Amino acid sequence: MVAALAVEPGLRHRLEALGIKPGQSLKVLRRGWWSGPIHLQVGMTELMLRRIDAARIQVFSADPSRAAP
Amino acid sequence: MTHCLDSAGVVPVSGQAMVTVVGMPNTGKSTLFSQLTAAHAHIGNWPGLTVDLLQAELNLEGRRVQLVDLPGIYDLRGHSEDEAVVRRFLESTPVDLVVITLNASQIDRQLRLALQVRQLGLPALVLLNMADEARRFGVGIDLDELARRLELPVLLISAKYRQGLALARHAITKALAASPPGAGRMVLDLEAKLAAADDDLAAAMGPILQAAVTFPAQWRDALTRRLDRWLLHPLLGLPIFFLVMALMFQAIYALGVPMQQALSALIDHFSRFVLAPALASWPPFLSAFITDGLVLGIGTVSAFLPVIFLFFLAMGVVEDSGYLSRAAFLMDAFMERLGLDGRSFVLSLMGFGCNVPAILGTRVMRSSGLRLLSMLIIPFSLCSARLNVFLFMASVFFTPRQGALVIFGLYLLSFGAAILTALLFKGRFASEESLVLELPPYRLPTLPQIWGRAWAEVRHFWFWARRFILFGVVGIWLLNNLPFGVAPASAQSLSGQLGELLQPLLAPIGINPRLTVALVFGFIAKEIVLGGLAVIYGQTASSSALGHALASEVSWVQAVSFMLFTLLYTPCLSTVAVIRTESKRLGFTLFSVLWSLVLAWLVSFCFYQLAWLVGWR
Repeated sequence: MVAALAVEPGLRHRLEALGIKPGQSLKVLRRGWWSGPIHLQVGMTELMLRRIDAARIQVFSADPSRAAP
Repeated sequence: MTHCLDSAGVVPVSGQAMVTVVGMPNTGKSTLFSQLTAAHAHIGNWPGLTVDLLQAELNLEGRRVQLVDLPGIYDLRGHSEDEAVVRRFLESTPVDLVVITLNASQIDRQLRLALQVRQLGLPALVLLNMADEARRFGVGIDLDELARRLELPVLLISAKYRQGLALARHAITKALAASPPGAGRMVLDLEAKLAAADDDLAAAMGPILQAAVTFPAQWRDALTRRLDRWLLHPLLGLPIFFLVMALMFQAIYALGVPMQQALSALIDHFSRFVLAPALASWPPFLSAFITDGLVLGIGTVSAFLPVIFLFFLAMGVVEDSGYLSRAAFLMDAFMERLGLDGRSFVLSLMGFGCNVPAILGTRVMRSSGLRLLSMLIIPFSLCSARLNVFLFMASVFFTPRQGALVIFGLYLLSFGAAILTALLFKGRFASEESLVLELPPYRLPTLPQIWGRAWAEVRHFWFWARRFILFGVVGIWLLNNLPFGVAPASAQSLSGQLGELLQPLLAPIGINPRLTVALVFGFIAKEIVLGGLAVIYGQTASSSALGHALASEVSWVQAVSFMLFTLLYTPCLSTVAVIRTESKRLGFTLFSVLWSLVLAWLVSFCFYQLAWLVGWR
């Protein structure tokens, strides 16, 4: 689950248009080699995101048994 | 509001309604546009907008309307250049109807754009495109409920498979019938209108979706998931990608080169057996100019159109299938370390067809540092025009086996030069741009779609090339034949003098005066290098005669040095022109030209001098 977006306004608009907004659940499909981008599924959309940007998306685990990253 | 522009500029036509297509990237918007207009669109120069918009006249049940395709945008309040273009357009042009195009299967997030447009108070209707995908992925949409809640007409279509298009046209006509001609409105206070409603937007979306759309309980696109497991594999992904690329290039040249040779033989015959006798009574100066200059130049380029067509066909398959964005994913980690990103890699790859559209493609980047650095490396992509020169030189100086190796080596060097350039200058063109890209599901490209696009690219190339060939051929002709009375291309002619003048600079890299002239013209366009060489060597009868003449004067080491220089220095004047217009900086453009010249000279110098030391002649 997305808790908050700590990003500059330009990126926030883009992320929200792609479906990443507080309260939305997302799924990490894979991480690229050599600390490459992250492959995410948000709703019906799949997208890639750099780790540095992904780090600014605060999430909490939907599964209570796992700690939030 | 009336505009007065020259014939190329197109703007609102008085008495005709203005309909614009608005949608997110990846919704099949341009497919829809070309289906609706049957590809009769032309590019209009809109006042106040820096980009070209596609526009076409549409006959809707007797009423003529102007249809304009706006760039794909994610958010009307977004910060990208395209988003600003759409805002400026809506603020400056009276619009009668907005056709909002959404990807039906991604309505969960794309509905937002429809709500934003509605907020502007413009007459609108919604086309939910990609109905086939929505069905495949298990997204069910209650059209009536959605239309009722949006208070807009909603239609489900599939532009790619031509489903629902007649209904869409009818719906547009009906929506327009409600507004009398000239009722189009510009949006005033666009920013304020959107900002005021921004918070309500998210709140409004939930209930609408809940009432009108059913989503699958599980992700249904198993095919994409399965393919991605291999194609995006941490270890195998990149090798598979390079293998696919290698096979693609192999196929293009295996098919294209014979076609090119056949076509060039045909043109050769035409010139010798039809044109030459027909011009026999003309003054020799003039007839030679036409047969040896014009026809040779145009023939060289047109022979080469099949390869370009095949290239864009293959590129279309890679792009429309969704694999190109996977390439960006795979290469991003590497490109990030060069100060670039996955998109720069994809654009460089497109540069292997032609550098010009690749440089235009950098518009998707917002950070100017990233754009400039990408523009700096794209010209090193070995474009098809240069390949033409290399294929010819390799066939003259090497056996087919060696030739293939030489060409492969040139491809490697092309990558190497781009990487070196990025590493050297990434500090000067730093960027902090974040990268968020959609990875669309894998799709089967349809033949009409990629065929039409490849055809458009070839036409575009031909348009550019034609102008430069004329210019180049006339130029070479004059340089070779002036001052009056000299033997063509002799040491006394202007070109001979120019070649001699540059000898102190170019002799150390093995470029003789005649090759120098070819390089000077290669600056205009690589397409005219071969034609130029033929004119300079006075061997315009056939390309094999030119080969013999070249091989008798030039050693293979010189030939390789010539190829290295040709690969690395400025690709063509059109690339320079595009860099100038896109970067809007003269200093950067000059720097780009100068750097490529310096790098070309250094690489050729090292190769030639080393070869000399080793004793290769």
